[in-house]
Amino acid sequence: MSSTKIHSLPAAPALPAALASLDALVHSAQDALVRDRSGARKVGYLCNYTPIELLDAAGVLHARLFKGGDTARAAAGEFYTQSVFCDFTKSCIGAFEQGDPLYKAFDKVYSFHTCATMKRAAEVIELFTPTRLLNVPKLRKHDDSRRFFREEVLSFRDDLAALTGNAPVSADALSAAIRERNALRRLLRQISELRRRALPPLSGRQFADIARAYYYVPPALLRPALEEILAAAGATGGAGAAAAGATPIRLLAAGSIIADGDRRILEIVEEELGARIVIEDNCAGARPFHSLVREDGDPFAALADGYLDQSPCARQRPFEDALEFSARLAEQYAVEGVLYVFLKFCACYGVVQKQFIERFNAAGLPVLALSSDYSESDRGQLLTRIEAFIEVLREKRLFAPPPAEPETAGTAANRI
Amino acid sequence: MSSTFTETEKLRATAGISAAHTAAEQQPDLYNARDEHPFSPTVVELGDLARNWSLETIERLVREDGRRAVWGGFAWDSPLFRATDTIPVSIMELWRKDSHLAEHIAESDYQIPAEFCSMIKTMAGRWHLLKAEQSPIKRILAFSSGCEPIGMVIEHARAQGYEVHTLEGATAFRVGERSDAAVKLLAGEIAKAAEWLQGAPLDDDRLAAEIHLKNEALRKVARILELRLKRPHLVGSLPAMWLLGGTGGFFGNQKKFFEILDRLIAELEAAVQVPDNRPYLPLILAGGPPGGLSFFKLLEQNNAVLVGFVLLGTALYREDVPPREALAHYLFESQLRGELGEATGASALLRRRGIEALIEKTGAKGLISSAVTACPYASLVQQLERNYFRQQGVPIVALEHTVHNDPITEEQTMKIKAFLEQLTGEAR
Repeated sequence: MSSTKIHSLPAAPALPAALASLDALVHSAQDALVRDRSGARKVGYLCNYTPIELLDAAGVLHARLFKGGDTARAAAGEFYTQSVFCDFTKSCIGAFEQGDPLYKAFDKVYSFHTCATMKRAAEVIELFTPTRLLNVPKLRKHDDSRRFFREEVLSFRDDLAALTGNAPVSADALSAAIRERNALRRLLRQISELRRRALPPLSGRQFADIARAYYYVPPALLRPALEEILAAAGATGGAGAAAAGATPIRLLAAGSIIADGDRRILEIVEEELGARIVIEDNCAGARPFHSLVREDGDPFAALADGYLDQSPCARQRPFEDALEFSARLAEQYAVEGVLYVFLKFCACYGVVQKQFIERFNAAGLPVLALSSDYSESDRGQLLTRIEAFIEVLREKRLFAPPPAEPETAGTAANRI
Repeated sequence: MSSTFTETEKLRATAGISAAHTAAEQQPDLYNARDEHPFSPTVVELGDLARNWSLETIERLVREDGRRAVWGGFAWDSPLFRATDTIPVSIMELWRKDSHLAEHIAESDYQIPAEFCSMIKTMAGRWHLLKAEQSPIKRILAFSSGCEPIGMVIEHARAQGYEVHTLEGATAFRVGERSDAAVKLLAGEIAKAAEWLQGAPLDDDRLAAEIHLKNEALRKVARILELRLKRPHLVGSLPAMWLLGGTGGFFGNQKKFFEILDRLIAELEAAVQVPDNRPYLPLILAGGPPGGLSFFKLLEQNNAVLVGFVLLGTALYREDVPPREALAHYLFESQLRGELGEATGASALLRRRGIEALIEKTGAKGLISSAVTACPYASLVQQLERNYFRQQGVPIVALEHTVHNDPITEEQTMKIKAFLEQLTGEAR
């Protein structure tokens, strides 16, 4: 096995410090939500189709319910679901069952209905905390669907007003929140794009930890922290650094959610095998930051459109959009192979793995499909399979012409 | 003798699945089953009508008579299909034949992981087989509120060349929540679907007439189920399911179906004049029948009668609103009752309300909660109902089954028998 050190990039001293500061911010934001006694209402939400600009503007404390990776927590969810739900869904329920302080703190949970499994999870969470389900249209390009989603967004606004006892969020307040979240998306995208370099300054795991902050830390605190990371990471390496040594195998991780705390595959790929996840097509990675919400006109319509226009989950239609988005990411980040990671029982990505694999193969990319859960029992098997896959990619590289330097950050900023 | 093999036969041989072997091991599907103790020739006629309305019959109508047929449209949307002269083809047809082979194809050719339910795998594989056999039914009407596994399998069908039209989905999540926007959305989607189905705008008067007709059928079936409570041994549990299933498309013969309903009502009205004091166990079935025909036989042997069904109900469509909206209201109300299953986004948490109402109405002594193995949603419903009804003191047994027409397993048999014995003991 190749040593990890061959592919390590000496980080600029500021980067580890900036990442540590962000980590501290995440923990302090979670702690603040749990401990807050100001009377502010506390809201949890389940999916990144939730227009959180409204939560920002409504003045509630909020967090995404996407902790995962813990076997015991997933098992606790089985009291309600039996074993045939994905471990992520079981973990969402399990956290309530176990009395996780963050999850217990919420006054209300909102679930924008994406997959049926999450809808069911929301129905169970209702047994612990008041829960509201809202519709997310599937036909992302249809005008009627967009109009309907705007109505759901308005209904969300009204529900938040009832929860907080305040007047419904105004158009101006929402517009300001949209601008604020867009700024964060731009920063996160810029940070992600640094990974287009031949020697990426950030690992996939580091990016996953940066991205999770978006769902916990209030925008005003998050923005300077992201700016600091962008500056620090941008100063690390650079295009010329690739010449100094071997570059890591570049991988796309596509598929189901890789939840906050589910770092098993990232650890195996990057820390044990020295390859790099340079881009993710999943809803906890870079995907949600690839598009912005329109900043002009009716902000409620803009919000509805913006969330339907975002890089799509596979449940959205046309389904081809999800395939094409994934393939374009692979191209733009010049990946050499794809890890298609889907949670066991995840219908959105498990049932159609063949179509994703065929699309990647058509682009000349080898794919390793991994059916994953939160148990540790198959770690050895995973390690063996991923190691063999990476070895194949290394062999392939030996016999391939030298790759062109991937586009640097910003040169194709608006292509996806 | 011809030496040509059909595509299905070739695939069956490749997969090592023998048709004869499969047929010998399987039992007739629900519509091919026969009521062994029909109370009248009318029940026999009902069985014949159900049996003859199959995929093969519909394919023949398409080929020979130029009729239009589309996969879907068998439940809340059946009036739309009739109003557009389109024959609805129930997805249940996809596992009436070659279901094991279909499941094998789904896992091998489509790489659908084994952990998914037999229903979706059978759908993927059978659509593949039907394509290979050049079935003339090449269109699918999909509904976005259904579960994701079904939605994703439909994408496989689309990739195979099926023409798919998707209705935007909306779900009613809570009783009393405002639904104006959702009703408006769905009414628009219904109009678009009609255009796709027939290539012409929807005739609202025609749709209203079809809704009225379906309501008539539902009223008649409700009347039969009500009369059955007084003479439960006359129309068995299996024919009762045929009656409910028939309201979806009248088994392709509305006149005959209505005649049968009218005759059954008349026969039962006469029969109930004579009281029947034989003991029996009234039960509710929530979900599909676990173990198919053998399940019904087991019930009969143990004097148990299904008096309430949760999957397909007899609720009526509204006729006081424009017909497109009536379909939308019907769908949303069904979701809130937990009816029509995962294919239409029924509520898991609220299904128990419908069950409680049925228990009150029918005097049922127990609940059989049934789910397709590996269906996450149905398993959750079962778990919630098990927790809830045990607290309420309502006996419940949770059973799992596949969609294959395999006989009931020994384990299931023991479980059902133990449940029935427990109930019989309590009744004494």
